[in-house]
Amino acid sequence: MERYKLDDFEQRCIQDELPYCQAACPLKVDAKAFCAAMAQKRFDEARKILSKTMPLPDIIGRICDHPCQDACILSQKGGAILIGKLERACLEQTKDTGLPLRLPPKGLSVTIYGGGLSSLTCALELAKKGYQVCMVFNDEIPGGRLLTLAQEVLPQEVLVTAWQNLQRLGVTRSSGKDSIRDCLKEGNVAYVGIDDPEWTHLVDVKDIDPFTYKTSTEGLFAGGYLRSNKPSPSWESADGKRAANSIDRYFQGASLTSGREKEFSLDTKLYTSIEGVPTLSPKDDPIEEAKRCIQCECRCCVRECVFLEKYKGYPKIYVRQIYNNFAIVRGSHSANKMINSCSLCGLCEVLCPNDFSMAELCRFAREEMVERNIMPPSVHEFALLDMEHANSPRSSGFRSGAKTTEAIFFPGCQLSGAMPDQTERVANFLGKMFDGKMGIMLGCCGAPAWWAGRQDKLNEVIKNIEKTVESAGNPTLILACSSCNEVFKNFMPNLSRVSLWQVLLEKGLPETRPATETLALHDPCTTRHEPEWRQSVRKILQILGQPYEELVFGGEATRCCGYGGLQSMADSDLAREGVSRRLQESKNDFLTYCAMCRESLSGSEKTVLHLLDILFPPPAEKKRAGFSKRQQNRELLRVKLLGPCDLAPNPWDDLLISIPDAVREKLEDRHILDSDIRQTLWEASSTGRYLISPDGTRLASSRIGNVAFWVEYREDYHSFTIVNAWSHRMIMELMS
Amino acid sequence: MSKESDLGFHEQTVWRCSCGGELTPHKVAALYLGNRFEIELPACSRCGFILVPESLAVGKMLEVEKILEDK
Repeated sequence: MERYKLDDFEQRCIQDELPYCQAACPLKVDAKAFCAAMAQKRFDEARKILSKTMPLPDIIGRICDHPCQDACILSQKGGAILIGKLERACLEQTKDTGLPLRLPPKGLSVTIYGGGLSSLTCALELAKKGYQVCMVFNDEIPGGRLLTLAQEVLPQEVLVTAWQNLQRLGVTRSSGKDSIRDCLKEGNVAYVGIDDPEWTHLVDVKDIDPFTYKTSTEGLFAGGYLRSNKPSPSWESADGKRAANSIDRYFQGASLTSGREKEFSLDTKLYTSIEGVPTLSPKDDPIEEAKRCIQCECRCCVRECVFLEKYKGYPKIYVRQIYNNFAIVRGSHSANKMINSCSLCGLCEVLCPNDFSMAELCRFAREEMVERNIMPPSVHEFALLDMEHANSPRSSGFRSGAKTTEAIFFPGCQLSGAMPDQTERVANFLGKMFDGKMGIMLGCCGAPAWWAGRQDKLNEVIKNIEKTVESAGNPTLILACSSCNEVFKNFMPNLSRVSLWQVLLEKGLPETRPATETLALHDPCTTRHEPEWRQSVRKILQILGQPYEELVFGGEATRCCGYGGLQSMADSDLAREGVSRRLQESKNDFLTYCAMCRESLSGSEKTVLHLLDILFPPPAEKKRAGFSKRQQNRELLRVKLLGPCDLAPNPWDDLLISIPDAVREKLEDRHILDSDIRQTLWEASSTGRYLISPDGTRLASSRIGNVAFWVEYREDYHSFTIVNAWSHRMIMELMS
Repeated sequence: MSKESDLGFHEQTVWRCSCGGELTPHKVAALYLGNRFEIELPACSRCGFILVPESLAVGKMLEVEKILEDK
């Protein structure tokens, strides 16, 4: 994975951006974590959080002008969190944790003029870094303007303690007889804190660089100037702290600006939704007030996606994990399952304020895994074989219109497999509507190959489709499946296409009766960016008089059924969880217009109809068809619509097998097809090799492709009842 | 690459082979993606038919296959 690509993806995810309060704070105090600690009455922890970025918390915490509060988004919901008040409450409940650590002396000295907050902060920060700091101020103790504050606002002893602490860190006091000019002459460095009124006259504010605090005089730094014509303790402190950082860099001969963007910036790209946040006024009790903090974060996508939620992080972290997955040389590619579990549905991109697309990332990662030959071979094989089956001569083919071919109906492999009767009825209906000028093409569009990262297989399918359409004179394709539409749109943009729904609206609907009850409308995820598809379906429902319910997560924000991106192949439990949550979004039965959505969402007590169930009744069976049945249906439909294919039948095709429901379910879960079972039984019968149990049950095995199948069965009068079946991929060889 | 593993299956089996042979524990090589494990499985002492029991196939063996696929 290319570095630039990684950066591009990472930058889009804003979950790591600073909360609004912290970004607005010149000292970058983590007010969010502070509120969380306060809400849990962990006062010592809260103090630690303050001390981490706030120098002299006992002073600033009491007098802070809290620019964070102006930035708090709860101002739109009853009032900003009173962070200033919480700070004060915290300091009153806790004790100073003692002197900060001091680095070994550097043998370099700095003179600091003024006793204001910026000077005190600068002195503290430089002393911690190991500089010999000498302060010059007029009063008995430093403090400048702070000495004039009321005792109840800032008790004098706090300033006394602060000065004592500074002295214990080696800070000294000078009588200040030497002028600044003299001081700098000796190659010294000085800082002037102009927040101390006694020293304001020494430096012109316009001469101070607002980022580095450098002045035009070599070695002279200054800060502590007014903000909006008012003294600002948070800024005075930040000036002192940032100037100390600049002075440290100055001594080291390093750039005063590089890598300090985060320190200087007051902006954040974070987005936090306040939808649904209750409006509450500020509370008197600090704990209750802290509890009002909503702990700003984005997670817009994670909250609404079972997949993003499962891996316990957020896209930025996933980008890193995927990058590391490629960087690994020895050991396990631990992100493989994650990469393959995304349904590629694109909901995250719609929800993300910055358009982060996990689909784009995972699709890209899958293609790279295939290219590097590190894609786990088993994960998509079954789906790709199913695609191969759908495009084999037994299931696919083309028939031109009886007269000419003005349009080609392309139902797609899943509709043909899951709802063959409806597919046939639609084909006949359209045939009449087009007056014998409609062709039919059966087969798969290649979507599974695209989802599996198999560009090679996708290209093969595309080439065949393009060749066929071209041979028919490039007529318009009538698509019934929005996943096919997505493939055509992306990979065969030159082919003219239209949705079946639009064609039905234009040509006229068949005579039918709506379902009586209201149905929750599930838009397939591949219609997310296809408003015309969605609108056509709604128009049809309105014409039919079919009552339907719009889901909150519908339309552009619809959810995937779990088949998209072959999610169910990589993580069937996850796909099931998604389905179960989706069905809980309405008390009504569901209606959709994608055969795979119908298949995936079926299987619970809820009825899930396809629009074609209503348009061309009677509806298909309520329960899902499943893999084997879909394959058989495709083959039968091929015969019905296009006639038999040229291939000779397999010798095992006619074996009579009977599969009880419970076993059938297991076979579906284990991806064991009836054709695998028939072939295994046929091989056992022809070779006479199988195992027998005392009760007469037999066990046969056969290796088909990369999989060894085991079938446990009873044979009665040339019919086989399947008792159990399993499979594995390992090859077994007898030794010695 | 040949490794020791606990993939084997040591329980008694009720299955008999259609050739008439008994299934007895045999040393078997399990191969996957260029890896080789030596394990013990029931196999026919006459024709060599190797049994991979369901519990092994859908349990430990599946787990090992997935680990190897992610390597």
